[in-house]
Formats: sequence, C-alpha cells, structure tokens
Amino acid sequence: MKILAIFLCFLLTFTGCSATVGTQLSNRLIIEAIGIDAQEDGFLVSVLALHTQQSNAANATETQDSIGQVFSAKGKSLSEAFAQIDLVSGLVPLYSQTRVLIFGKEIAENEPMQALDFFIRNYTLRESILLAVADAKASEIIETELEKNTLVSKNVQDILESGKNNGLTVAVELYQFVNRFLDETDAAYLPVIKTQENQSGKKEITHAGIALFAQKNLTAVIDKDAAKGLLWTAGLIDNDLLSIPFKGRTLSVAVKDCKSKIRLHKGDIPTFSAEIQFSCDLIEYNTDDTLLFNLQELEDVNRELQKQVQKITEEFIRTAIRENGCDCLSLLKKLRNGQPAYYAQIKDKQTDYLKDAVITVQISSEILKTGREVVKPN
Amino acid sequence: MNEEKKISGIQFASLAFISRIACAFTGIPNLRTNLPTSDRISVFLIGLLLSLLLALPVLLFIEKENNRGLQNREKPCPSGIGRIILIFYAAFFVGAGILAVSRLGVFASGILLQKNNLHLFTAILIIAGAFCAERGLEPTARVSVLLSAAVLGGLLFTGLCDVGKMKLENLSQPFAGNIPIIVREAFFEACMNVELPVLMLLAPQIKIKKKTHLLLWLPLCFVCISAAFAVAAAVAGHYADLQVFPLHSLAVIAKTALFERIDDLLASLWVSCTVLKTGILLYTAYVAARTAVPACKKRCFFILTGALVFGGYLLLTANIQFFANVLQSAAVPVLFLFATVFIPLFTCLKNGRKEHKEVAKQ
Repeated sequence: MKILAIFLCFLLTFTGCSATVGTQLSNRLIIEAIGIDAQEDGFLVSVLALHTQQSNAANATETQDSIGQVFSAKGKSLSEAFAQIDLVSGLVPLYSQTRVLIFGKEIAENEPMQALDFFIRNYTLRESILLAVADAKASEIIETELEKNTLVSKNVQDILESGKNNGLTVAVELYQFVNRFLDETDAAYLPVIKTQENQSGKKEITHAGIALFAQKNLTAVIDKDAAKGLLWTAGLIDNDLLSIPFKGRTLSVAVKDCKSKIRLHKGDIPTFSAEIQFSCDLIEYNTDDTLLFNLQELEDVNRELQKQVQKITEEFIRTAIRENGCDCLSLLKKLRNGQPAYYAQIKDKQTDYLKDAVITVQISSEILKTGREVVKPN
Repeated sequence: MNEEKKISGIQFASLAFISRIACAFTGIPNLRTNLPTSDRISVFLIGLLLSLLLALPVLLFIEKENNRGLQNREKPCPSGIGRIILIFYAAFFVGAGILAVSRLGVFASGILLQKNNLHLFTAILIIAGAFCAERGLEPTARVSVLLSAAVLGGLLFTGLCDVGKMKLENLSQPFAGNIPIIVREAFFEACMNVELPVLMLLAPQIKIKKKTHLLLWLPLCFVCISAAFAVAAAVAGHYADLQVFPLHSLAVIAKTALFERIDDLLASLWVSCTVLKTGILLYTAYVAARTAVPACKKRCFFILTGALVFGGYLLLTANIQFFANVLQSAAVPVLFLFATVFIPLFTCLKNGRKEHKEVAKQ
C-alpha cells in the first residue's frame, strides 16, 4: 500500500512530458520556426517543422532529403492558419520546440501586436522563443534551402545569438519584445534578417540591421553600424571585434567584458550619461614595420579605441533616438521612475524631448594583452 | 503512526511555508484586479502586516487556552455550540482544500496537461493528499522540511538564472499604483493564510518555546513570494502583467546552458506542495471532526472528504468565469475572518466571562 502510494505520488512529478501523453513522437509536427506574413484578409503562416521520420533515422546524414519540411497556410487569424497546417500535415503540432518566430516586414510595419497575441496566449509556446523581422517576406526565409541537414531555424538562432559575441546583431526573446512594446516610453527592437546569395551562388541567411518600433509600429531600420552602437550602449554584448586605423594601418582588437550603464542625473533639466567600460586584447596589426608596441603607443591605441566606440555610440544615438524618436535605452522610463514630476511635463511630447535630450557618453577601456608579442620599453 | 507525537516549531513553519507557497505559485494574481507585477511587492508587504494583525486573535486564543487547542476545550464531549464550531472548522478546511486543488487544476490545465483529461491527475493528487493526512501530522511535517529546502533551492536557482536578465527600470516605484486597490488586494492576500486557523487546532501538537515562533513562516513566505514577484517584474515587466501565472513564466525564462526546462522541475515541486497542503488541510479537518463527532472513522472521513474535494474541484473548475467569481466573492474573506478572528475572540471573551463569574461566586 505504502509503495503504491509513493509510486502514485512519484507519477505526479512527471510533468515535463505530460503534454505529449497519448501522442507518439512520429505523430507530432515538431515546429522549429514560424514565419508570418500579411495577406489581404489575414495571415500567411509558414512553418518549418522537423521531418521526424527523417531526423529519427540512424542514417539521416546520408539521406538526400532535408531533415526539415515546410508547410504554409492562409487564414483570417493565426489560429485558423495553424489549423490548416495541422490538416495538411496530418500531425499534432508541438510548439514548445520553436526556436524562432519571424515577422514579414509588412506585419512589422502594421501593428505587429495583432500577430503576437496568439503567441502570448498560447500555453505551449515558450517565452524564450527568439523573434526577428524579415527584410521582405518571412516565408522566403523559412523556405530558404540551406546546405544538407542545416535547418533554417538553427541557422537563424545561431546568427541571432552570436550577436552577443560579435556585436553585429541582437537576440530578442518574446517576453523582452512584448515588455518593451507595451511600455508607453520604451521603443522595442528586433533584428532584421535577409537571404542573399553567397559567392558560390547558394542562398544564405544573414543579418541586415535592427528594426526599431515606436508608437507600436516599425519606425525605422538602422544599419549594421548604428546597430553596433545600440549593442554597445545598451550593454547587449559581451565581446566584439574592433578594427581601427592606426598609423596608416589597420589594427584589430578583441573586445572583452563590455559593460554599459545608463544613468539619470536629476536636476532642473535632467541629463543622461552612458558609461561604457571594456577591456581588450590586441590581436592583429598588419604593418610591415616593427611589430612591437611600446607603452606610449599602447596608450595611443587605447585612446583611438575609445574614440571609435564614442563614434559608434553617438551615431546610434543620433540615428535612433534623435532622428527617429526611438527610446531603445529606456531613458524615459528612467526619467519616469527617477523624476516623475519632470516626466509628467514631457509625457505628451516624448519625441521632441528625445531630440534635444542631453546624453553624454563616457568610455573607459584598458588593453589587457598584446598577444605573444612583447611590449617594448618607451 | 502516533498522531499525538508532537512536531517541532521548524517542522510546523515548513508545513505552513509549503502550504502558503503552493497557494502563491498556483494562484492567479491578476484575477481580481489588474495590478502591475511590481505593485505586487507592495501588496505582499501590506499583506504581511495585515496577516500579523489577523494572527493576534489566534495567538491570544492559544495563550488563553494554554495551548489546549479548540478540540480539547470541552472534554470529553463538546457542547452544542462547541460542536457547531468544530464542524464549521472541518467544513472550512475541506473548502480550503477544494480551493487549493482547484487552483492547481487550473494551473495544470494550462501548463502541465493542456490536451489531456485532468480528472485522473487531480484524483491521484487528492488520493496522495488524503494519504498524507491519514499518515498523520508528523510524517507530513518531516516531508515538508525536505520539500521546503527543495522549494527554497529551486527559487534561489531560478533567481540566479534570471539575474542577468533583470532590468531595474522595469520596477515601478513602490505604491505607484492605486493605493486603495493595493490595500484591498493585500487584504485578500492576507485572507489566503489558511494556516492561521490551522493553528487553532494543531497548536497542541507543536513543541514551541514562544507563541510568536508559530508565526515565523509568515515573514519567510513574504520574503520568498515578494522576491519571486520582484524578479518576475524586473525580468519580464509588462509581459509578466499579462500572464496568468507570472511565476511560471519566470521559470520558463530562466535557463542555463545545462538546464533549459527549469519550469518543469519547479512545476513538479509545486504539485508536491499542493499535495502536502491538501494533506494538512484534510488532517486538520479530521482533528476538528473527530471531536465534534466521536464516531467519525478516520479512513471513512478521508474517503468522504477526498470525494468532496474532488466534487468541489469539478464544480469550481468547470469554467474560468465561475472560478473567478468564487475567488472574487466576499465569502472567502468573510469565512476566513470568521475562522481566524471572530471565533477565537468570541471563545476568549466567553471564557473570560465564565472565569469572572466563577471568581465572583467564590
């Protein structure tokens, strides 16, 4: 009796697999990526799902077929479109494995929230799913045929997540986007991806800047340089690679431990400061002259690096915040929390306020290593 | 198992902690009012103060009755009013059990078993709870200590996983929202502490040095639940406000390189917490019922109350509108106040008069 009772209690803890009770894995449509495009009267949903029988096969790597399969369907609502896909595939959808959700540009431009509700409401979709905007149609990205056994979903996920280490793009999860999107002050942002042909003529997916959302719609797409500024200023990167001109040649450094803090300085006219700190290693200096640096030269390099970062961040502040009125740095939120009376005065003219807001950028950096090459005495 | 074996203060604190935390995890914070998640911290702070205030009559009762417990006041057989009061308590705890199981039912229907029949799951859960109650207080309390450690560890781990994702600007200023609504929510929160009236009956089975030690679980619960909501607000901001179960969303967001499904591990802990909560409530109901009706057989009682809890769960969770209406109704706080404030005060007052008359006679 005791053992039976303990066994029954133990059964209650098997909650992770319970959603799939009664359905075999081969009968599930394991969704990897979802693309949503606008249609005249609703949505076009493209779904990349695992070809379960193919991916389960021991010799999957030797088969000619892809391990992913694409389904598309139209519907007045997303749920209607998904129901169509269930009908076409004949499988029970499993959303919890979805890696990325891609919006077509048209959806992003016209109230993306209407396409998001399905995903916020759906219990099976995880909050940590990555979001992106296609520079044209989401279906084009989903249907891209990559090399054998490479899934678009994994490829896009890798591209987005690599942004933390290469400063080229940003990974935004569903809950982060919704939080920023619903805030009356914040501007939300999403990475933009596109397909392009590589040198061998094959299609590949790459990042194409960052889409900024103000007033609940896509307001602007900033290019890679300004996007780098966002990542640096908002503290969204750990590592990066910077190349700067130095004495007529190119010098590259590997940036590490990049940290950023935005502060509000209260006063009659509140101001903001972005304090960026980073350390770096010299990794390459393509000169035919002497390779070794002395301490004074290292100091000069450090100063040049700071100038470079200053330029990147100021370019971002000019483009995104001043020109497009997109508060990607949560400046107004800080103002609302820190100086509510002042915020109440500018609440209705946020864009005008951001145009003239005083935002200073302070950068401190240090060079940790110069590689295997020694440092000369001065 | 010897039912008269006493449990330590720590064991009771962990039982009460598990019971309260089960309610917080499976509760729907925005069912009554749509407060921003960061305002929940203010709600819990005021809720703690109100809970401590509401606990005073219970402590007074335990002090005046010299830790005899409600069931032992009129031995060998309670009077008419005494019997009615004990039956009320038994029914109250069974009702609280129905609410606890229904909360988990709603949670499970969305999070754990979206497409499967929940009734079998709930039936097993109630059987497990009734089994805990049948074993008695001491074994259940021992399990609760282990479970408390696991829950605290789970919360800490989730918090650590989410530290890097926290944005302090997502937290609004304390009491930034509508203060009357915050106070009303705090009152409802305080009325969720069904563990306070449990003390009226279980106090004789707890070894304690100071009566105030009986309330140590209250600040612990406040710290844990407030911290969890603060992290949820700081990480997910407005997203958490939209969610039925924001603490579950927080667990989903928390992931490390090794563990990506922390939410499933935590959900299993929350299920276990509800099993223990059901167990402790049914056990307390039994303690009241066996004094009111001495002929009450232990096994029969648990079978009957288990069936009642299952029936209540079926009725309550039939649709979300009915469930929300019941949770929003004034009946829940009124019954709680009756059990936690009115009856202890009434009993103390009655005893005081009786003693006064006896002294006057002498």
